[in-house]
Amino acid sequence: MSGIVQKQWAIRAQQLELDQLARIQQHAEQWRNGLTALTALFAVVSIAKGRQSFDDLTDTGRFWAVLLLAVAFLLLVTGSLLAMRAAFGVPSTIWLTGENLARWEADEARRAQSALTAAKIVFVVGVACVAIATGITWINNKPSAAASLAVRTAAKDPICGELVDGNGTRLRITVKDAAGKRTEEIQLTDVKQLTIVKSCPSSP
Amino acid sequence: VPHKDNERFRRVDLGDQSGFSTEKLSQREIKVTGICPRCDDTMTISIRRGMVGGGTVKGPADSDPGSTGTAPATIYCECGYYHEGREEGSSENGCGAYWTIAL
Repeated sequence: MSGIVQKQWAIRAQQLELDQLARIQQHAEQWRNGLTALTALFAVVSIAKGRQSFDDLTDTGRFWAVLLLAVAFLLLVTGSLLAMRAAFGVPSTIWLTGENLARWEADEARRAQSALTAAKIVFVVGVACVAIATGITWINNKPSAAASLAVRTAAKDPICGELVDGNGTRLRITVKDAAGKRTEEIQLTDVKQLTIVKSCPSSP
Repeated sequence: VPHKDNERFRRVDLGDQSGFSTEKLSQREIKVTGICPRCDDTMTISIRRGMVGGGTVKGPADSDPGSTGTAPATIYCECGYYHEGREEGSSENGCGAYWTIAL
């Protein structure tokens, strides 16, 4: 470093003494704005519309979607913090000589560059995780379960099973119980009550 | 030593200089006292710890003048006198000379 440049660094170092309070307040403001923007990341969770949209997924699909969203969330938060670190730095204290300041700025430039590179990588991976998780919520749905029908008749005990078909005179229902799987035919004239249920009570 | 008012303002590199005394006033301030080798004014400056933009500073980037006794520091004349030729609005208030001392 030539002498005149060293002097310019020394002058800059001296001038830094004059605005210490303004500088720390400026840093605080920048970080506050950045951290406020970070809360927008919670929108990632709302992409999947919370727990409801996971209800239709298979167990495996739900596991991977939740895992990927959690990883994506962490990556995006980390990426944002790294980008903020590159942009704003973190306040620290040195002896304000020109030589110290020149070395510190060179080191800080390298640190900011590394943080920015890491932020880019982390961001891309995080977005990929969100995309994959969203894809899983689209394609990994459970087959919709057939509705079961609980029928009370005058002649028999209540019957519960999957509706196979029906016409104007009778219903055919597949019943699974301790005796095995069979199809029952019920005359509509015998029906006293029909109830659609999510699943049939298991037989004793 | 009388101050040499007739030295024109000039940014002259005077290289390494000894003869400056340092006193650590606190953990955050060092007082440097000596005579400007060019205009002969007795000058006192303070070197302080202060905040810089960001990052954790480790190693040589934060040479502690008070503990090593060898950290170089460039200082410049701050005699406070007007020296002919100094630009109007200049942040300097000396004869323009600068040199390096070991803190």
